Amino acid sequence: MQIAVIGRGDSVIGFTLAGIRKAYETASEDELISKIEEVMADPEVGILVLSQSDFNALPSRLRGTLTDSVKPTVIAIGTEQSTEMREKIKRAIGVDLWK
Amino acid sequence: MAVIRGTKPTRAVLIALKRRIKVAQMGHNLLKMKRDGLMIEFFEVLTQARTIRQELVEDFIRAEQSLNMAKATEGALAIKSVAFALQKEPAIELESRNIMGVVVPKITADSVQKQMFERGYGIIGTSAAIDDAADAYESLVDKIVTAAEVETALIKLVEDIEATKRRVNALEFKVIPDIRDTVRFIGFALEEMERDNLVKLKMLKGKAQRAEKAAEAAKLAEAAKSKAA
Repeated sequence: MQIAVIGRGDSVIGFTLAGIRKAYETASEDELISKIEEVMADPEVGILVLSQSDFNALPSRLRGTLTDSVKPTVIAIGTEQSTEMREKIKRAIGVDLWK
Repeated sequence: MAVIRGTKPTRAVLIALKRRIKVAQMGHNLLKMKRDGLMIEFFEVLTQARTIRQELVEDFIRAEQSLNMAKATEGALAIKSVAFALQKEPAIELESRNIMGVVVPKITADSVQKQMFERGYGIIGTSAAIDDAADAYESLVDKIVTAAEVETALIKLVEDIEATKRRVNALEFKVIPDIRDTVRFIGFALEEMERDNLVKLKMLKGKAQRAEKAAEAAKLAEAAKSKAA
C-alpha cells in the first residue's frame, strides 16, 4: 500500500523527495477537499498525510470522517494543536488526558 | 418503578425474568471487566501516542528546515527533478492486531530510509542540502507510519471504551432495575390473585355450608311433620 500526501502549494515537495508518488499540490480549499475525497476513495492508499493547518480549516463534518477513518488512516502533522483527538478522549473517558 | 410494558403477570414469565436477571448480571460483570481492561490498554497506548506525537513534530520541523535549505541553495525545480528520479516508493503493509476484541491496525513500512546511492539520482549533480532534506523526510515518513498506527489504535480503543461504557451503564441503571421492578410487580400480582382466590373459595364454602344447613333444617321439619301426623 502507499502513502499519500496532500498539501498547499509546494509543501509536499519534501515528501516526494522521500519517494512518495502520491503527493498532490492543491491551490484552493475546494481543490483540497475534492482531492481528499478522491484519495479517501482510493483503495491503494493506506495513510493520508495532511498539514495540521489545512486540516483545521476543513469543514467539521469532513474532519470527523477523516478522524474516524481507519483505512486509510489520516494523520495531520504540524506544529499546531489538534483538537479532534482531545475531544474524543474527553468525551469517552470524561477527563482531558491529552495534555 | 418502571415495569417492562406488556408483561403478563404469570408464573412462567416470572421464572423467565429471574433467569434474565442472572444473564444480565453476568453480562454486566463481563462488560465491566472488558471496560477496565480496555482502559489499562488505553493508558499504555496514550503515553506512546503522546511521545510519538512530540517526536513527529520535532522531526517535522527539522525536515522543513532542511527542505528550506535545499530550496534556497538549489531551487524548487531542482528538488522536483530529483524527486522524479527516485526509484523506490515506500510501501506500507497493513495487518491487524486484536486488543480485547478491538481490531487495531499494525502498520509496517519498508524501504523508507535509504542510503544515498540507493535513491536513484546522481550523487555528483546534486548538493548535500538535497541529501539532507531527503534524509530528514525519510525519517519523518517513518515516524508518520508509526504515529498512524498508534493513533488509529488510540481512536479505536476510545470508541470501544465509549461503547462498552454505555452498555455497562445501560445494564446497570436501566435493564437490570427494570427487570427487578417487573419481577416485583409480578410477585405482587400473583399474591393478589392468590388472596382473591382464597376469598372466593371462602365465599363459596360459606354458601355451600348455608345451603347444607338449610337442607338439614328442612329435612328435620319434614320429619317432625310426618311424626306428628
